[in-house]
Amino acid sequence: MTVDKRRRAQEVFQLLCRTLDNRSWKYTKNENNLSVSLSVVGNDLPMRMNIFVEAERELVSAYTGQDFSVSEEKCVPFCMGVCAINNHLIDGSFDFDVLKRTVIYRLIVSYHDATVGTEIFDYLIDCSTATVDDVNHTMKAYVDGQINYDEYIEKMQA
Amino acid sequence: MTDEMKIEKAELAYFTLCDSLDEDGWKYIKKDGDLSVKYRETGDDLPMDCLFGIDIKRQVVRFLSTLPVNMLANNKLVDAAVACCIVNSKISYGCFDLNIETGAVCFRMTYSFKESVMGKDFFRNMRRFATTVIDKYNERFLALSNGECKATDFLDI
Repeated sequence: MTVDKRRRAQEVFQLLCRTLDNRSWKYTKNENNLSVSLSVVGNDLPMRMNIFVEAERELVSAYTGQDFSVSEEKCVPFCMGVCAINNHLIDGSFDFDVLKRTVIYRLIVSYHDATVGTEIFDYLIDCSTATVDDVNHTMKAYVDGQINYDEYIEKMQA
Repeated sequence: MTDEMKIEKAELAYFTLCDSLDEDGWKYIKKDGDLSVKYRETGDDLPMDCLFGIDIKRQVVRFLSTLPVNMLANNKLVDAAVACCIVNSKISYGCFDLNIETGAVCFRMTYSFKESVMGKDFFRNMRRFATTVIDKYNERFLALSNGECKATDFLDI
């Protein structure tokens, strides 16, 4: 990795931290791997968010996880719902790991050959939390057996 | 940001995108009205129909490429849903979207340009990442559609 890329990543990381400080949000900072982790409470369920500045690829990636896992028998139908919601999204995707049976929402922004300000991190955080908050209760309701498959798909497509 | 400023920024992004394609010698079809361009890229095996679109309201640029497959016609919808989830969990850039009503599979990659100014290399980089990912998986999606492989075969790629 070039010194320039490393220096740029550190600047971007400081900007990310400033964005969180501006909101007075509590977060854990890891200066070594240029990442932050935080908890966000949505309308209903809590979310865990990890944001990484990737110096080599000049990306900032936000991964928002959810505190439930999917049973083995619901794994395949769960995939259908994940595809239904992803197909409606403008940015980011829900990634369902079929082996771990956990789901995260992934959103990235690039700063390669681009100037960035705190607004891009506001977008990264707000878009991630709003998108996850919109559907996490539906995913959990299906996983917990509170809604059936047809209701799950209908809500994920709405 | 006012609507006028958003339009100005989106147009600047569009012109920069076109400049980057021109500079690299690409032939493409422009739709100035909706700030989008279409072109065809030849990968290692299958051709890729690519579309770049600038979204004024959301201040994002989207890259879309629909794969030459139909999972519904070939009764592979469930396998395709599992395959898309497997692949999306592995990749860092973009995602494969399955339309569960039509059976179409489309690769989508979005970058925001909110309050930022991009150079030509921003788009070049985006195009390179996107086509690399598509090229890695499109042949396997075609094989799945044709019944020549299973969804779990995507775990090994």
